[in-house]
Parts: sequence; C-alpha cells; structure tokens
Amino acid sequence: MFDIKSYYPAYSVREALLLAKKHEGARFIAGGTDLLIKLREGKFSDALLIGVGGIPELSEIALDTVNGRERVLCVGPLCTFARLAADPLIESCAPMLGRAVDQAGGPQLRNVGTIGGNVCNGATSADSAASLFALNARLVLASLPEGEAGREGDTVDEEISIHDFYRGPGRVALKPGQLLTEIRIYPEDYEGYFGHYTKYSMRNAMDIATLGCAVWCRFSRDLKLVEDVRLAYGVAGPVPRHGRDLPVFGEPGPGRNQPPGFLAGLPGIPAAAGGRAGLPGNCPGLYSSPGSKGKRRSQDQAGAAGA
Amino acid sequence: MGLGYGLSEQMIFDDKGRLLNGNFLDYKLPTSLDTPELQAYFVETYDSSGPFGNKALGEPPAIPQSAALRNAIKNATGVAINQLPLTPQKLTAAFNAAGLYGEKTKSQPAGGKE
Amino acid sequence: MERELPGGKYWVLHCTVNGKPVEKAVEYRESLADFLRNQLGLTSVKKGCDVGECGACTVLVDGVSLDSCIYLACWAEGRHILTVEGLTGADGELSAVQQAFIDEAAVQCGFCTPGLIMTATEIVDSGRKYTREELRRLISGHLCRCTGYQNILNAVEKVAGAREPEEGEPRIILASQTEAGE
Repeated sequence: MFDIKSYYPAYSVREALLLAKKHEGARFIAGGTDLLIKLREGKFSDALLIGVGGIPELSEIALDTVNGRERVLCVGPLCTFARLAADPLIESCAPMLGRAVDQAGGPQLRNVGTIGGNVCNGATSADSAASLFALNARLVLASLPEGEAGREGDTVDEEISIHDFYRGPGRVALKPGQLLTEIRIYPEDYEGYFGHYTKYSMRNAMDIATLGCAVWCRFSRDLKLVEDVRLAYGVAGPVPRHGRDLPVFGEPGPGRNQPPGFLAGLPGIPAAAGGRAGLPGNCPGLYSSPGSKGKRRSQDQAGAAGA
Repeated sequence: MGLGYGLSEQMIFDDKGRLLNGNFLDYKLPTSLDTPELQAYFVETYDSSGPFGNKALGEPPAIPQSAALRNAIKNATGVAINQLPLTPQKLTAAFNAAGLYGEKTKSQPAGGKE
Repeated sequence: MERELPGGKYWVLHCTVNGKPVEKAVEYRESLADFLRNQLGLTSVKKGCDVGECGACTVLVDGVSLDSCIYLACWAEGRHILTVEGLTGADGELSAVQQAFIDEAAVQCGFCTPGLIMTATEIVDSGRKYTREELRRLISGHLCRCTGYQNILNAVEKVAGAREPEEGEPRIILASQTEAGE
C-alpha cells in the first residue's frame, strides 16, 4: 500500500488545474515511476495525487506550427519512454532524444515512465535531461487564468526554456497549479543536427546515470566546417549543465564556425567525409552502415566507433 | 552470482552498523546486460567427506570468481587490488596510485562512501 | 467507471484479468501487485523489491509488460491484465514459453521466473525475431540472482526464435545499440 491520502483522476488539462486549485498541496502524477518510488522510500507521506495520465491531448508527437513558426517538434509530456524510442518523428528529427530515453531503467519502466514526469522530477541524472538541454527544448506550462470563472478551454500558457526550468536538485520552476503540457523543439535546434547521448552508469541497465553527456552538432553543407556544437551533461552538477561555457570552445557560446581541426582531434569523427549531407534532422551520409536504410543503429555506430 | 560479488555488489554500512543500501537500486546486482555468455562445466571428483562422494554445487562455486577477476586484473596491469568489489572507482584509484596513467592526477579516494 | 467519482479513497475497478471480467473495489493506495495478489489471489505476481527494480512483479497490461508494484490498481480500469495463471490452457497445459523455461532449465529458485515468463510472452507475441543481444536488452528489466541469465536466454530464444545480426550491424553491446522491443 502506498501512503496516498487521496487520488483524483483528471481527463482534461483544465480539470487537472481545477483539481490542483481545489486541493492545496496536491501533486500531479503521470506514470508514477518516480513519484510512487519516492512514496515507498518515505520521501513524503499522506500524498494527495491528481492523476493526469488519462488526458488524451498530452500524449501526441507532431510537427506543428507554433506562433507562426513551422515544423516545431511538439512532444506531449505523457509520451512514455518506450514510445519516444520507437517513434518515427523523433527518429527523424531528434534521434538522440529517442536513444537517450531508451537507456532509462529497464523495458518495463520505459513502458510506463513519461518524459513529462522525468523532466518535472527535476533530477540532474534524468536521462532525458542532457539531450533536452542540447536540443534547447522549451516547455509549455499551463495554469488557470487569474480570477477563474470556470469556462471551458481557458488556460494561460507560459513557455520557458529548459535551461531555466531546472532550479536545483529535485526542484523545477513549476509553480503550484501549473502543469507541463508540451515540450517543444524548434527547427533551428534540430534541422541539420546529429548527435549522440552517452550514459555512463555502474550497470548497463536499471541504473541511474553516474554521468550523462549529450553532444549535438551541425556541420556545413560541404561538411568542412563545424557550424554548431552543443554539449550538455547530466549529473555533472546539481542541475543538468550546458557545456557552452567550457574552455574548449575558446570563448563563451557554442563553437560556431570552428575549423574542422577542432573536431578532427577527437577520435573517430572525420573532419570531412563524403555522403549526403544537409538532410533535415541528421546527416546519414556520415553514419550509414551498408545496408541499413537510415535505421537508428546507424547513428550509434559512429558513437561506438568514437567510444 | 560470483561475478556480481566481484564486480558490483557491496553492502554499505554507516558507522552505527545500519545498512544503507538495502534495496535493489543501490545494491548492484548484475543485470542481463552486465553478464556475459556463461558456460558451465562440471569437474567430477570424489570428495570422501560427502555422501556418495559429492559436495555442494550451489554456493561454493560462487566464491572463486572474484579471485579470478582480481588475478586477471593483476595479470593485465600488474596492480594488485585486495578489496572487493572491483568497481571502476577502486580500479581508477589503484591504477592512479600505481602510476598507470602517467603523471599522477588528483582523483577521488576509492570507495568514498564506505 | 463514471468520471464523476468523488476522488476519495475507493474506486470500483472494472477490468479483465486472465480473460475473466473483474469488478472490485480497490483503494487508491493499492498497487496493481497488491490487488492481484491479495484481492484476486494471483500469487504468481511476486514482490521482489516493491520499488520497480527487480521485475518479479511484471504483468502484461494490454499486452505491455510493466512493473505492477509501482502501478496503481485504479489505472487498470478497462484494461486486460495477464499473469502467469492466465497462460495455462483449459486443461492445465503449459504455454510454449513456460514449457521452454522448463526444458532449458531456466528456473532455479523460481522467484524471478513469473516476471520473466510474462516478458518472454510479450516478446513472443510481438512476432518479431531478435538477436541474442537484443533479447538480453529486452530482459534487462529483470534481476536474477541464480541463473546468470544464460538458460533464460536459451529458453526465450527457443520460443521467440533467434535471428543472426545483420551484416554491418554493430556488435558492441551498448544500451543504445539495440532496437527498442516495442
């Protein structure tokens, strides 16, 4: 038995927010794979839970037009890790994210655990965290408008960068009465990029990361120039860290327009290679293995070759 | 079983003797991805102290793996480590102390939480 | 069940367990493992750790394997749940997965076995063939102290069918190298 005082299922975002307003101190629960374990460990007690796992509009993955911007990758927070790992849209736009969440826990956990829960849990070791940082993900937080009059469909949405969302170990910038409703990745953060997430942990499965590192880069069309490199780390600090201030880049900011020598020094990654470049989402020409038609494996072959 | 004992399993106690990692997350049993392909061969001997000449099969064979692992590390690197489990932290500290990384670098002491 | 539930302490759960419809009142505090074991007497669902680490409590909910110890019973509303008790045939004959576990001596103390059998059933029902490394990854949510996973993999391979890795397929067993099983 869990130490749950009451549980309130919600079937729409508005209902969830109204329940949160009505029951002070209540927490949202999605897959429960973080929260219920915390309850078992006694990290809190007498829990008031609002179940948001049944809200249909929060589990979509699509390319949407947002605020006039096209092809924004919108991921619903209720998407399970298993679904993200297998989803073709994630595979084509941000395969590193799918690969990263595919390394969390074990298969049973990935079938239930959601990315929204992973993000809102605020752990620096979250497997989605380093990748989302490298992708400059933006989060949409919904809340009820001031002076709520109870009309259908009204919520106030706030978009916040994931860099500002993590505040400390286990703490995120989620105010009481706010619900994460969307994770957005804008096209300038994924088009033409490719990358890899490495999870170093004591065991190869069922373990929290001892260190996580996401690398996300974009080459020029002729593959002679590194246009952007992003590094993000999990567990390297109380919150996931972006490597943009690392001395290796010379000056603050990502390594824009660095000559190929910068990357050529790293093992396994050619400074220039033939193949198709410039396709949206990744550069399969660099990393395709013979016979694989851009399948997920091809990405990691490069990661493994470099490891 | 013996592989886990040698490589990752450790019961961590505080100074009052309370077990700190009494759960499966913190007590690191090898998962299927941590275990290589195993082959078992039976060495049939006659042990005069056992009934019909046999002896226990379940528990005693779990002992020598750690010794074999430790000897393998010594054979490969020349570094003798006499503590279990042989976690990466312990190995790094021992290799560092033995100068295997060239100039000695600052590193965390082995098993900082014990 | 109706939506206008007061959200208090009980929920009247309607679901299908091992092919039979079930209507029971569950407390919100109850995990699915507690519900299956205590209320329905399905003790094949083992509690190894109660924190979702060991996989002994694995059941199939709508064909998807999950740890029932960290899954609230009320979430099973309207779903089909399958445990080991539901695998045997009408006259008690064992399923192919169960028989393979016996034939390959994949059972020692037997505590991890029910969970592994449910995951193996999911693997077989997917209809796909996997390499041995992929199978290792698919059962990585289960902890087994006794067998070293060797015979378990032999048993699953026997039922699910094995496939050889393709030409050029990476052979390094990193967690990110294999296809998701779903």
